[in-house]
Amino acid sequence: MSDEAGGVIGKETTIRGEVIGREDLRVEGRIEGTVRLEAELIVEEGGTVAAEVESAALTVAGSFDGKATCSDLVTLRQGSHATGTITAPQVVIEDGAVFDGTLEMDVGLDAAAQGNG
Amino acid sequence: MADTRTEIGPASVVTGEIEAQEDVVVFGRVEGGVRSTAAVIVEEGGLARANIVAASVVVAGSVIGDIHATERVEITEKGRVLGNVASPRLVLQAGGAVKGQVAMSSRPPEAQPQSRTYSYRQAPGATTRRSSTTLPRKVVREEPPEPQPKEG
Amino acid sequence: MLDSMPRRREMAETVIGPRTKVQGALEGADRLVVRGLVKGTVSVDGPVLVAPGGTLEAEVAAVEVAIAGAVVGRVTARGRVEILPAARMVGDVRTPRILISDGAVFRGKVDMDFADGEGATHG
Repeated sequence: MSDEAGGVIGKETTIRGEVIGREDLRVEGRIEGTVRLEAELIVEEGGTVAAEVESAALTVAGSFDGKATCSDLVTLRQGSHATGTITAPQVVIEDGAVFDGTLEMDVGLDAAAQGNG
Repeated sequence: MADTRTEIGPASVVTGEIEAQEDVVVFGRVEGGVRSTAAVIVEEGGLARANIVAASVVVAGSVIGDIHATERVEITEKGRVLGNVASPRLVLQAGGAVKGQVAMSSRPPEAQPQSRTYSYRQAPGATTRRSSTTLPRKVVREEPPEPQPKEG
Repeated sequence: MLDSMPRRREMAETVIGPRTKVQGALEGADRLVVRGLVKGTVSVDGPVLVAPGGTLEAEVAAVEVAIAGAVVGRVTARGRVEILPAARMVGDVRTPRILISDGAVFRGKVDMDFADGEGATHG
């Protein structure tokens, strides 16, 4: 595994448990459990993460189910399927991504707002 | 293609219900509800404190309320939504923000003459679903409101 | 006649399209053009035009009101009111200046006593 690639969970690999890291992690296989990353979690097309995730960033091209709390950017790519709760300051959902769940972002509005956001 | 539309000007406020069979563009403010068989566009600087039901919805301003679209919802980089979004297609641009529930695959297709682009359907037995933990959770929310107005 | 309505470049518009119905209160400082249906109340700090085909079933307060469509309701305009040939209006009008065109159908009272300090026109 080169330093550039960070970690990779191969297509035929499943991890059940807790994954902790400080470099990007690409998932082509499957993780179930908890992921804590000081970097980016990338769920590749065909990959699945069913977990509670805390990371700097998250990109889903495959399948995500769980709770993601990210300090930077979450991207749901075209063709991805995600369910659960996503909390992040910036979220990008591409046309063709499917998401069912809750987005927790700061909108700067409250239900009693009188003016524009 | 219809070339007429409704525009709520930047210094205007509508308190009540807007119902249209053409695009509705909000530069000012709407407090109440907006329904269209076409598009509803909340422009930058516009505010809709309203439930919005339309074929497609574009949010470049602020929406406090639920959005139901039969085709597509787009939230642009300045768009803000405080409320729930139900639509088969959703585009959230970088910079845009949503706080609420999002339902994309639980949205049933509606009989819409104009809805030619709506072809999304959750395929049964899709290969990405390998175990029960990856089945979409049923988002607990109230049913979409009554069907689109049909009067001309 | 419609050309005489103030058309300051910087004034934005609210247009209620022909296939739109608004039920409630519409207020603001943009010029209002009604091509569809507005039911309720209208309060505009500027001109209001009910275009041919447009319908206003409302209590209206504005600066100028030009009617070429249908109006049912009371109209108060501190500037003036023009009831144009295609107009069908039922309701009372209160304004310092009024023009009722030949061909217009109008039923209502006209009160031109507007001496409460708001009589200044902008035409």
